[in-house]
Amino acid sequence: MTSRHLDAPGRGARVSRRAAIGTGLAAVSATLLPATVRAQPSGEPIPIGCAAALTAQFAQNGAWMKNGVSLAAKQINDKGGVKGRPIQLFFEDDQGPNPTAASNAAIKLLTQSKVVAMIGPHFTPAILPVEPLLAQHSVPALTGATGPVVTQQHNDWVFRVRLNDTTGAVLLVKYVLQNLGWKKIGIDYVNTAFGQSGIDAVKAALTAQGITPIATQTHLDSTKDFTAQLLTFQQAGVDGIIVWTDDQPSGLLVKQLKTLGMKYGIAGSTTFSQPPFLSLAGDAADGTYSVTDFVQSNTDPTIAAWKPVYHAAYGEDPELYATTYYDAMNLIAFAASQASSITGPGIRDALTKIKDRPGIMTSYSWSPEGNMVHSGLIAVAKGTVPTVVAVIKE
Amino acid sequence: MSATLIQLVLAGLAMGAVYALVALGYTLIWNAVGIVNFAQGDVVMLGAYFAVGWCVDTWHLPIGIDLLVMLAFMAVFGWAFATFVYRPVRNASQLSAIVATLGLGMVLENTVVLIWGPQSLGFAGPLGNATVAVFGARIYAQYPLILVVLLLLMCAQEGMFRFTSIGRAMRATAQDAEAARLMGIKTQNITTLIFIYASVLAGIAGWLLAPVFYVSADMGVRVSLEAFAACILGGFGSIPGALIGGLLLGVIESLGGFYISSEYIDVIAFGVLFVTLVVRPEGIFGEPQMERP
Repeated sequence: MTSRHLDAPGRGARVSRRAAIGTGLAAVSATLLPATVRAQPSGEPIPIGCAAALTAQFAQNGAWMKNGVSLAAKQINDKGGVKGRPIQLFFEDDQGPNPTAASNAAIKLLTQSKVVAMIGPHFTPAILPVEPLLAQHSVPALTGATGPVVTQQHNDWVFRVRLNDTTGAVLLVKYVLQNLGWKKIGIDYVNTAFGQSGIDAVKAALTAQGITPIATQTHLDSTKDFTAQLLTFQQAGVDGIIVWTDDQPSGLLVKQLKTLGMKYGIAGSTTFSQPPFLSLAGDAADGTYSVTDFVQSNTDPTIAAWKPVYHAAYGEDPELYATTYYDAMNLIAFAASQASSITGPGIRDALTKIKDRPGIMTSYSWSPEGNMVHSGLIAVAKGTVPTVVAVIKE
Repeated sequence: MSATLIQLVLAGLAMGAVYALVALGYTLIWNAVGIVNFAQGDVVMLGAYFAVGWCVDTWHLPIGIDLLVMLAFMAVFGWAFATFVYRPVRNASQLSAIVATLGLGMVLENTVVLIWGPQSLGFAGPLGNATVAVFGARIYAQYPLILVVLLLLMCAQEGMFRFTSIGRAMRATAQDAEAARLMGIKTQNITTLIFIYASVLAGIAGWLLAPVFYVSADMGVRVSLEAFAACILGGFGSIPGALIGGLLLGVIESLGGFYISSEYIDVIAFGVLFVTLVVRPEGIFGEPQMERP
C-alpha cells in the first residue's frame, strides 16, 4: 500500500537530488571536454527508436521530445557510449494522439530499424495500440503517457516515466478540497482516451472523498467555443472545475472563462502548467492550478543545473517533454549498461530493477504496474509563471 | 430573454458566421466550377498565419494594415490556386479536382508548420480581450465584430453581384459557365476571379477567427467540416443557404451544448443535418434536382 502526502516546495528526495546534481554537472563537464579527450564508442551501435509527434498539431511537443532524447544520446556517446557501443537513434513520426500513425511508426521501428528499446509514443491514444506490438517483438518502451489505461493493460513491456494520472488526480483532488476549500466541483475533459481515463481517475478520487461532481462537460481537441460549457458550470454554482485536456483547449477554455467573467476556480492536468498553455492563455492563466511533473520556474537545484545544459544545446529553456525524454534516454542507457545482454528482454529486465535512480525530473523507481515516477508537483500560475506550491509523493 | 440565452445565441451566431464565411467559399467555387474545394478551411488557416505570423509578429504592421496586406496576399494566392491547382485538372474527372484540393490542404498545413513552426500563435486582434454587454449578457467583443463583418460582406457581395458588370459576369459563370461563355463572357478569367474572391473571403474569416481560435495548422480542419455541413443544411450551391445554414448550425451547437449536453454536440448538430436531409434532401434553400426519366 502506498502512502501519499503533501510536502512544502523543494523538499523530498533530497539525497537523490544531490546525486542528480552530480550527474547533471558530470554531464555538463562531459559536453565541455574537448572531443579528443573523450572516450569514443567504437562498437556496434545500439538501435533505440523514438516515436514522436514530428508533424501535425502536437509537432512542437514532438520537437521538444526529440531534443531531450538527442541531447541525452549525444552526452552518452560523448562519454563512450554504453559498454563501448554508441547509441543510434531512429525517429519516426506518430503525429501525436493518432493511433494509426503511432502503430505504423512503431512497426517501422520494430521491424525495419530493429530497435532494442523504444521511447514513446507519448500520447495515451497512441501508446495503446502499440502495446501489443511491443510484447510481440519483445521490446520495452518508455512513455510519458499519463492515462491510467496505459498501465491497466498489464503489459510488462511498457514503462511510464511520468506521474500516473490516477495518482495525480488523487493528489489534485485532495489539494483543491483541503487547500482551496472547493465543495461543489464540476469536471470537464477532452474526449480522448487520455481525457476519459484521466477524468475517470478524478471522479474516482472525488468519490473516495464523498463528493459527486455537480456538472460534467466534455469537448474535443478541435472545440473552439466553450461558452455553453462555462455557462453550465456557472449555472450549477460550482466552486471550481477540474479539467483534463490538451494544450489548445486548455488555453481557449481559460481565456474564455476569464473573458466571460466567471468567478469559479480552475485546476487540471499537467497541460495547465506548460509553455503552450501559458503562452496561449496569457494573463488569463493567472490562478490556474495543475498537477504536474515539471515546471520551468522550479527552484530545485537539479532543475537549475539542467537549464543551462539544455539552453546551451537549443537556445531555450527546457520544458516537460524535453526533460521527461532526456531522463528516459538516460534510463534506457543505464538499463542497457546493467543488462546481461543489450537486447529487448535484457533491457526490460534491467529496467524492472531500477530503484532510486536520480534523473532531472525526479528519482525513478520501477513498480510492478510499470510506473517509474512516484512524485509530482502542484503548481499555480502567477501571471504566466507557474509556481510550485506543493511537492507530492506517493 | 435571459442573459444566458443571449450569451449562447450570440456565441452560436458568431461561430455560425465563421462557418458561413467558409461555406460561402465552398458555394462560390462549387457554383463556378462544380468542385467542392476541400482546402477551403486550410485557406482560412493560411490567411490567419500570414496575417499573424508575418504581418503582425514579424513585420509589426498595425492592425488594419495587416488585414489589407494579408488580403492582397490572399488574392495572389487565389490566382495561384486557380492557375496551378484547378486549371491543370479542370478537364479531368471531378474526383481528380477534389483530390487536388485535398492535396493542397495537406501542403498548406505542412507548409505553415515549416514556416511558422508547430506552436500555435496567439493574436489579440483589433479588440483584444474586450467584452461587451448585450441586454445584460457579457460576451467577447470579437463575436459581434464577426457578425457585423459577415453582414457587411453580404451587403457588399450582393451589391457587387447585382450592380457591377464583373459581379454579373461572376454570377452568370457561377450559374451556367457554358452559357456564360457563349454569351461572350471570358469564363476562364471570371473563374480565376471567383477563386481570388473565395480566397479573400477565407482570409477575412482567418483574420476574424485568429483571436478566438488561436492560429494553428489544424484550425481550418474542423471549420471546413462544419462549413460543409452548413452548405448541405442550407442547400448546396445556395448563397443564402450557406449563410443561414452556417448561422443555424452555430446556434444549434451552442444551445444543444448547454440545454442538452456538451457530450452530444456533434450528435445534435449532425442529427439535425440528418433529419434535414431525410425531410428535405435539397436543404433549406436548395432547389430540387430534376432528372429525366
